[in-house]
Amino acid sequence: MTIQIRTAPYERVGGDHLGPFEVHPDLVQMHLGVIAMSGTEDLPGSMNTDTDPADPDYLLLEWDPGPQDTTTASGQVRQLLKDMVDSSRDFKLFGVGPGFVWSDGSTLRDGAGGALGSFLFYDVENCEGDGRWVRGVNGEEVCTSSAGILFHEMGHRHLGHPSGFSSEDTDNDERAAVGVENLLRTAQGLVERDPDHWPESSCGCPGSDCCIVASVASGSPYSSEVHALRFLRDYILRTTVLGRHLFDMLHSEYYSFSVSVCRIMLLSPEAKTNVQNWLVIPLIQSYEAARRYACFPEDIAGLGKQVMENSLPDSPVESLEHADLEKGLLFIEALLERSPSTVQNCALDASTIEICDTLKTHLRNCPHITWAIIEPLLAYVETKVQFRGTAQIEDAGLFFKQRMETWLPAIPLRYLLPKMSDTDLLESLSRLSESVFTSSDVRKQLGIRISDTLSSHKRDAITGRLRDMGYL
Amino acid sequence: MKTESFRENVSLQVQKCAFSDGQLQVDLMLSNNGDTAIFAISSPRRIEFDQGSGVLHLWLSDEGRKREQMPGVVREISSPPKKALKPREHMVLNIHVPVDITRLVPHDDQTFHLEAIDLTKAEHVEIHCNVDDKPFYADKKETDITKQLAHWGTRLDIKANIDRKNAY
Repeated sequence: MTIQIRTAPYERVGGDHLGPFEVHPDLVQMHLGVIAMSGTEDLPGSMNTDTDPADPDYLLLEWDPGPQDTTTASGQVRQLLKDMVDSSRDFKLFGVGPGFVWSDGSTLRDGAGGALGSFLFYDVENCEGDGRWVRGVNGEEVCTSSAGILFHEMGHRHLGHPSGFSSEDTDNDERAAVGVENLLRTAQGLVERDPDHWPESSCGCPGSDCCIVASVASGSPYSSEVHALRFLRDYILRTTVLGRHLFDMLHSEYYSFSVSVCRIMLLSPEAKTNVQNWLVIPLIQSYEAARRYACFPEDIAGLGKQVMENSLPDSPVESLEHADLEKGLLFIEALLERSPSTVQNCALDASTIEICDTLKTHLRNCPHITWAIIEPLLAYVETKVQFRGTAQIEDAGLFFKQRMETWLPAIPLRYLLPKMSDTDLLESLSRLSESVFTSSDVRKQLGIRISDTLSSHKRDAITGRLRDMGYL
Repeated sequence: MKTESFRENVSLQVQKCAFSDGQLQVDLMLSNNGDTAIFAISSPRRIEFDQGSGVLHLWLSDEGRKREQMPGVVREISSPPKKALKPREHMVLNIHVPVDITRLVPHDDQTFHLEAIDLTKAEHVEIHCNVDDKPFYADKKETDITKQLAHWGTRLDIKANIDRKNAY
């Protein structure tokens, strides 16, 4: 048992007032889980961690997936990870994030991972959420993930490569580590990385490391559900300055709880299924319905049809019993602490209740996640529960429309507006009036809120433009 | 090495240099007055803080880095992220650097310590940005990627004081 995960924050020299360095053990465990799942929906055997009795600053990884079919890529990845667990070499894993620099001052954007003897350091946030590309064997820039970077670095250690650049065999060592990384890429159904062009990688890849909860719940960071969320992130949310600031807030709030949720899911298939059916898939469907509302705000019947009929092929939500959907609604209401009942009364498994409690606690301090994720989800599932089994498509559409018109103008402004110049705010609102805030009622409600939030000086400066754009 | 006229046609100005939201934010205006497109490294490759002089160096450049500076660590070097700038146009590079930096300091016996660097103590910033009229392409015949990167482009240097009055 030689894979150790550093858990204790690491004391730093020269900055007592700054405190110790955080090493992100939850994210490291999550990335090990993604490697062990190796592109499938299953995690064979139980992957446990326990405090290392010899050094309580570390967790020891315990994992035995049983016999593996090494004719498959997934089997090869699992066998290799198992070999690493059983290896005589030590692997001490450190998750590092923004603010970490290597010894010469180079940043994680410059080098995503490295080794010093048995200590392995890698970027757990994958370029601060921007993603990272590597050169694929098809010649294209293809995305990589933090789990891929970790497996690459573990490959170096497993293969006994000497540390650093002192070796003249650097090029060969890198090719070999890319080979290890490619085992995982193949298992995940991705284009392999070109070992002959290993230095060609850099930050900025819209497809990578999105939505870790959806990745674990759906079994892969490259599932259709995660692709749908990536599309929304990259082609709607991050196309304006306002959207990018909102994304930054969502990103920091999301990582306050997502790894805890994923850890529970990795240990409980039932909780994983519930998160997939009650949160991930309905969330994507709610966004699809919200997009339809934004495009055709007056088409009530079409909106009702969109909400009540499935927009994702073979969505398991449609096959849920009504009672299960109601449980999902209760679960979401409980997250917002709006339900008179509690999830404990719904005969849920302990892991799902633990996820509910974890989310509930964090959401109190996550206004952007609550607005961007939980509120539209609630609107969607409430509509489904209320109108399921009825022929009242138009009523369902009207109900959902009203919920959208309450939800959209309620975007949290307190932390977003101070970050933006007048020009950026107006440009963002102008663009969003064509894609998100298409309804004049929504624009007017939002304009009033913006106006009330701004200082009188700023308000005077932009009121005319807001009025011209229909926001007042 | 580029001609003097290349250097004369490219200029760098600091529009903003202030602390905000736990970060040092530097907005750089890059202008291309020449007749061909240029490429510029768009985010810091290295961060060096001289605590004695209070000067923070932000290297949007691979110049000056050698392998010997990294005993025992960092296997994988990425290509620098670059932005293209058309002829006779300008663009703003927004640089964000956390004020709380942690540097890995390796020891000869393959142990290490972590050094905390408080960038709020910086008084001045020196920015070094490499630009070129073609992107970086790795030469497979030369395995030392660090050396190749260090020779890419022409370096522009600019200094700025940190605006503490308008920090928010």
